Amino acid sequence: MNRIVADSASHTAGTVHAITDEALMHRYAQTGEHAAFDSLYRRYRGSLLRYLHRHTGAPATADELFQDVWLAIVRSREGYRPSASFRSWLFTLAHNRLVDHYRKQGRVRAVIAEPRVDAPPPDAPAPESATPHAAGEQRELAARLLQLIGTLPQEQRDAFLLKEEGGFALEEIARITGVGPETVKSRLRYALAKLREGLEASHGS
Amino acid sequence: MDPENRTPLDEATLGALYASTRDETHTPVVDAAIEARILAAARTAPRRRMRAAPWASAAVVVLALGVAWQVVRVAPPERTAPAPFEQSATAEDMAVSRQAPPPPAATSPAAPLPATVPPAAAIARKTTTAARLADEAASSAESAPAFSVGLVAADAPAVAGAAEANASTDPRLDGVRALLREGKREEARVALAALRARETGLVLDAELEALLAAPAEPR
Repeated sequence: MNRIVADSASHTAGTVHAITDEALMHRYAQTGEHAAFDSLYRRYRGSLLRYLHRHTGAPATADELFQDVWLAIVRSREGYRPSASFRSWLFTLAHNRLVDHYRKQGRVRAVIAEPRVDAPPPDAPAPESATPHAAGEQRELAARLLQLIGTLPQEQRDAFLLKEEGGFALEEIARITGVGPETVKSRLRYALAKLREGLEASHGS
Repeated sequence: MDPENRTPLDEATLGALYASTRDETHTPVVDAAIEARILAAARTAPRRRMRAAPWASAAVVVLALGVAWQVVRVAPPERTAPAPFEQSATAEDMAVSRQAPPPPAATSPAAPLPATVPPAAAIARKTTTAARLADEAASSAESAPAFSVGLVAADAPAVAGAAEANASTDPRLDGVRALLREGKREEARVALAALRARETGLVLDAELEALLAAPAEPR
């Protein structure tokens, strides 16, 4: 299958850009200017796809949800108001799609199987500043972290991924997930504790 | 790794470790077909319809309200009970109707005559034979002016003054005199009675007084 590597630079969406997300979306909604949509898509395709992949642990499902979310953006573009953050809108749609997906699956609080972690290609270059041993250990730790994220309860995984992939603050995560900030704080605390515990255990082994 | 050299796994370290998973090694890839489908949908989505400016919508609403108001005003709904202002108008009309009629023109020539015919006389003119005969008598007199209400009212001051000076020259009586000349005495009497009931300021000479006082002839 022909696949396109999601640009990791898209995570920096929300930082300095010539045109804000909201202005791009407003332009697309008002005039149908597809170049504006393309820009938004390229800004967020990486972070959104990672959010969905690491949430579901199933690439096919994540791809399907990914497509659903972007098509929903296209369909409901007229309802978009520039006063609302585009990023928040995008991840709210994604979160709602995930909730629907889990409901269909009957897994309201299921623990998802460990996500697939793409094996590093044999010729992947190590960071220049790291020794081969340290680079290998870093990749190993990162892979272990992804596995541990897949074992988190759904709500904790959701809060963690929204924080790391969406770059949202507590209040924004609370708004997206429809719970109070204290609940989000608690979920994040539990998630971090479990991840830390799992990584230290693998470290010690 | 030597446990002594480990970095404590605090939140910032975990965050940095997660950030390292965004590199090409761990980043998932987008299916090319899905991406093409998304971008194609964005390009082919129908454009938003142009909306009218808010002021235009407001103008349309105001215009519609104006038209509706005109329609309501021109054709008010039927009411079973009179409105208060109608009741007051009726009372006012009654007060006016109780007022004394204007003095006859014979005693005050300058006083204007009523411009309209009293209702009772008007009804009599339309419904009685006497009125019809009076109209015929008036129309048969060549020298008499048109026997219309409007003309009578307009010419009333001058006619009243002439009647006072010489009753025999009152042109309103010419029709009656013509009937008398033709020998139609009874018709002349009826016409005179109708004329006297309708007109004010008529001065009758002895012949007409006698005609009016004579009993009706059997037909």
